[in-house]
Amino acid sequence: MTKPLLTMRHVRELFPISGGFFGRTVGYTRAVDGVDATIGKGQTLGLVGESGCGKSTLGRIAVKLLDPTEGFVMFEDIDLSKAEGASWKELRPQMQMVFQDTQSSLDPRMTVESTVAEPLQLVGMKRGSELYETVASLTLRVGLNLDHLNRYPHELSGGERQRVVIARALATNPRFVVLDEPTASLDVSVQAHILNLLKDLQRAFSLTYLFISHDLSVVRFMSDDVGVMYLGKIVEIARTEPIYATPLHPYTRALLAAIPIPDPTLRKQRLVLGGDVPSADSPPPGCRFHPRCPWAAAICSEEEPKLRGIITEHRAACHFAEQFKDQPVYVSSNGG
Amino acid sequence: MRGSMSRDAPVATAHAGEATGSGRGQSLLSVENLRTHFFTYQGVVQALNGVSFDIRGNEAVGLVGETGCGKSLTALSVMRLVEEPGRILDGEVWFEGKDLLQLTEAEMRRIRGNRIAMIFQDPSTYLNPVFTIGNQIGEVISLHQRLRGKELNRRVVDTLHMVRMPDPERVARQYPHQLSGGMRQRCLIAMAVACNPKLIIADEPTTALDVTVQAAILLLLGELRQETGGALLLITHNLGIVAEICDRVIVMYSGDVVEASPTRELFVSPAHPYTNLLLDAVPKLHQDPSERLPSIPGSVPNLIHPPSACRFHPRCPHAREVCATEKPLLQAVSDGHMAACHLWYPPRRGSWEAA
Repeated sequence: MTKPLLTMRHVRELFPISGGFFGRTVGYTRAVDGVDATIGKGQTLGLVGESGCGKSTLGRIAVKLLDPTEGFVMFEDIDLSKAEGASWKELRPQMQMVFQDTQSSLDPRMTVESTVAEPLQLVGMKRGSELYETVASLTLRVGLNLDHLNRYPHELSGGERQRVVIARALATNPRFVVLDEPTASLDVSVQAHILNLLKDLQRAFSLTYLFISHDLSVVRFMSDDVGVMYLGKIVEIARTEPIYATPLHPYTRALLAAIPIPDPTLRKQRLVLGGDVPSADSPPPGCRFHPRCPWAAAICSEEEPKLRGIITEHRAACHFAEQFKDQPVYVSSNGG
Repeated sequence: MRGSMSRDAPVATAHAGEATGSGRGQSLLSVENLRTHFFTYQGVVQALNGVSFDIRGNEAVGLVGETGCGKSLTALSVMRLVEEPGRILDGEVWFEGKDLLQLTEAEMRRIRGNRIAMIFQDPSTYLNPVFTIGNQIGEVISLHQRLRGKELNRRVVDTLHMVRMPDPERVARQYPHQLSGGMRQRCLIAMAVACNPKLIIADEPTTALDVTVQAAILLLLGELRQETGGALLLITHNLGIVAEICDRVIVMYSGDVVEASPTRELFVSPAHPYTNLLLDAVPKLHQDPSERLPSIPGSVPNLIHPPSACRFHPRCPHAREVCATEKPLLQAVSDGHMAACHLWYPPRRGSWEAA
């Protein structure tokens, strides 16, 4: 692995729940509950999980839109929670975020040109004709043309809006970009364009990505490493290839078995989970996955499994991870 | 599977009137040349441009396409739920020997929810927040079958039981906000199957759900179909879902049916260039991530001024002159496999692959 750009250690984020007549804090939602992860320079870490697992919260912590309740985030060798004032001002342009919903992350009253120019003006990088040229070249770089500069968000299609958001994120010349479900609201043909664009840009500007998605095949296409989250915890993390070939955590196996594959010749293990994701306000004791896990044993409801290395660079938080070592999820079949 | 397809070869072709006529006997739903347009201030949106297809008795048919291709509108037109400024201009929708487009509103109301039921995408907006689940499922049943009181309650609980709802008696007394997304979708499915319909139209039934919940709902839809012997028209943009649960697939592009085929054949040898490109654009789990994803050039056309003739021709890598001047008809490529593309005249396998 290359040198780490971003390191997260024991990151925990608790949101207070207020209740009662006086609105006192009656409990905490454990949105992110002790996450360790590193992202190497120029690499992409994919984060997958279902809604409410804390993947977006973790993305926000990574760019200091939220400060973690516990733990710390290091950007190279700077602790983000200590970066304030001048040092933060210097650091901020280096990390950007692309959100899922382009409709609400663009100001409807700003043209494409002023949207892309705004971050440049904020960091005081460019003015006048130089500013225009930078904006124009960014716009072209993301696959829009100069006619788009004077348009408003409502005049653009979903794919075009996402390109504007990407251009805006790249404006300050960042080194690290968090992509939070960048293609979730797009059609497959548009999604293909955007994913290709993101890969091209990563190569051209040697960007480091944190790629958040619930779509496992998109994450596989984009990522060097993949982390699977369940109820605020990373339950499995590894290089992309091994995690898809032989996932070691039952939840990852269930996720993979659950994605419908557009290939009728591929057979996979039937594994349908019962129940819904429990609430992060009061997670189940022991292993958080045990109420839905088909392999759960007595120990699972008592002792919380630690994220541990099972094979080189492949870590999973399951008491029984070893049993899955040589069990692939997919079997190719030619019959039928 | 191919064998059974060839025995009762499907017969809907947009141009061959006699063929479709004979098909009415076998198929449960037969849509012919359906045209629905929207009359807006900007102009006439030609949203459905002569859609034809068949669904047989206990088939699961997938209707796929991208946003704005008219797949949901097809379902709404079949149910006669198109709202102003939309209007069904032309076409026939044959169901159980009747043309639904000729029925009175009162007759249509006896079919909706009873013979044909619909499941919508977002379960939270289709459930009324101020009534209990039992009340809402009961409403459907009491509307079509004269059941009251205890008998009605028993049917409600039975229906919830049928959709594998945990603790159905309690859920019947609960309100929508007390249930999770997956449970709400089960309630909508319960409302749809309550009167034992012959056809269920499911419009993106799992789009708002997480994948593990989606898998459970899809499994349920498949099991229900086997238990009740009804047909399913599944509208989705997710080709994976279609591959897993549908017997046949209809692909739409910009208000036209461009391809209709048995599922396996569609994925193995797509006949229409659009289908082929669409299949390629989906990231696969066995794809080499260092390669670029193939993508479709251009964007979805404006339906007020759609491209002439074949609406896909401006984006099609195999387009020829004829594609801009003459509208291709849906024609058989092989048994039960139809495509609307000029490159198949005369039908030759792989003709556009070689081009």
